[in-house]
Amino acid sequence: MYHDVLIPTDGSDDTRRSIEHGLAIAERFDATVHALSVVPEGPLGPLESEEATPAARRAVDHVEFEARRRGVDAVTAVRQGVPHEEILAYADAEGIDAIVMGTQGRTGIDRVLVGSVTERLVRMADVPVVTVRLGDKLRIDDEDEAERIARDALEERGTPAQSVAGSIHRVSGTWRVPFETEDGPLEVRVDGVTEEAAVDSLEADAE
Amino acid sequence: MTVALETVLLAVGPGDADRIDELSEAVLEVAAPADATVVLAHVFTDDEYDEVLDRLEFETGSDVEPDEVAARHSTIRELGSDLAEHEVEYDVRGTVGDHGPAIVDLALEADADRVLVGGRRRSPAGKAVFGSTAQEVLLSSPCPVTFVRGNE
Repeated sequence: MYHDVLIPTDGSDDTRRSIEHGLAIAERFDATVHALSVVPEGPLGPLESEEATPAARRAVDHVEFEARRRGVDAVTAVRQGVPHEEILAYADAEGIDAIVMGTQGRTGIDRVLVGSVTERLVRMADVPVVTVRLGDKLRIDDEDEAERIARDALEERGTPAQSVAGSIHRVSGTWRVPFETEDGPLEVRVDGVTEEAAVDSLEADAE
Repeated sequence: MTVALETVLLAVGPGDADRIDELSEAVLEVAAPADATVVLAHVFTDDEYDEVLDRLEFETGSDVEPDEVAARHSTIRELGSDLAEHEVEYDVRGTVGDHGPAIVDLALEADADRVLVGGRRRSPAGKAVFGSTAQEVLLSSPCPVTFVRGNE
């Protein structure tokens, strides 16, 4: 029985399928999903720029949003450290029953190599590790096209966009386009493969 | 968005004889709630196959099918009996060839929705290694792969 399923994510396109499968598994077992992103830290301290922590937060928020849409319970966490170590530590601490992850991540060079985090987790985890390969190529691979589709979605909904209200990000293969509308701030999420759009109202300072 | 789970391929090799309990638990965990059919497969390299034929007292080069040889294998019989006990439907397959590609081919042939394999081996120095079979399966499998560790 799976009660708690861990989905590590770095927000890369490669995680689109692993998140889908992780959520499907959680749905089948009525399990709680744990979305975890690790900001890599090297021996001298945090490696990444200021962008890294917000990007990690976006990555786990995306999983939570998708979980909510399916009626699956989700918790999110962002950690700093050596990715596979943080993931293993989290899995131990939270009583995780299975880990569902992609095979490449951000540094995936080509399909010949297995990502080092995945390899380490398969070797070292105490629980089953489900690996999910990158699925279909993205059909929407530029920001402008994502914005166009997002605007159309808002038009159809009857709340046309007034202006783009911030940066457009692509997280786990989903484009997130924030708008200012008559109804207040709304975010449109456009799936980069299926081109489907979903609208989310942005709550101020949502945790 | 629903994800299918109709067919689960559980692929074992000679190294899995000492983790039957873990594999059994893992496959039941996946297959039973989904009412999936399990393809219970044993993969043999050419050398391993000759060894098994010998042990089971078939003549090497005789006309016996790998499926039949697999069915006689103790690992398969134990796993099969666990599956039957939990009323999970299964088919037994045997294939001869390099483990990695053989497992991938089976997954394709069986239209598997999930592949389950033991994920770790010990190197001679006792270190847990991620072998070429695991790598091949992970990179080429047509569906997600569950790696199960033994309680080493």
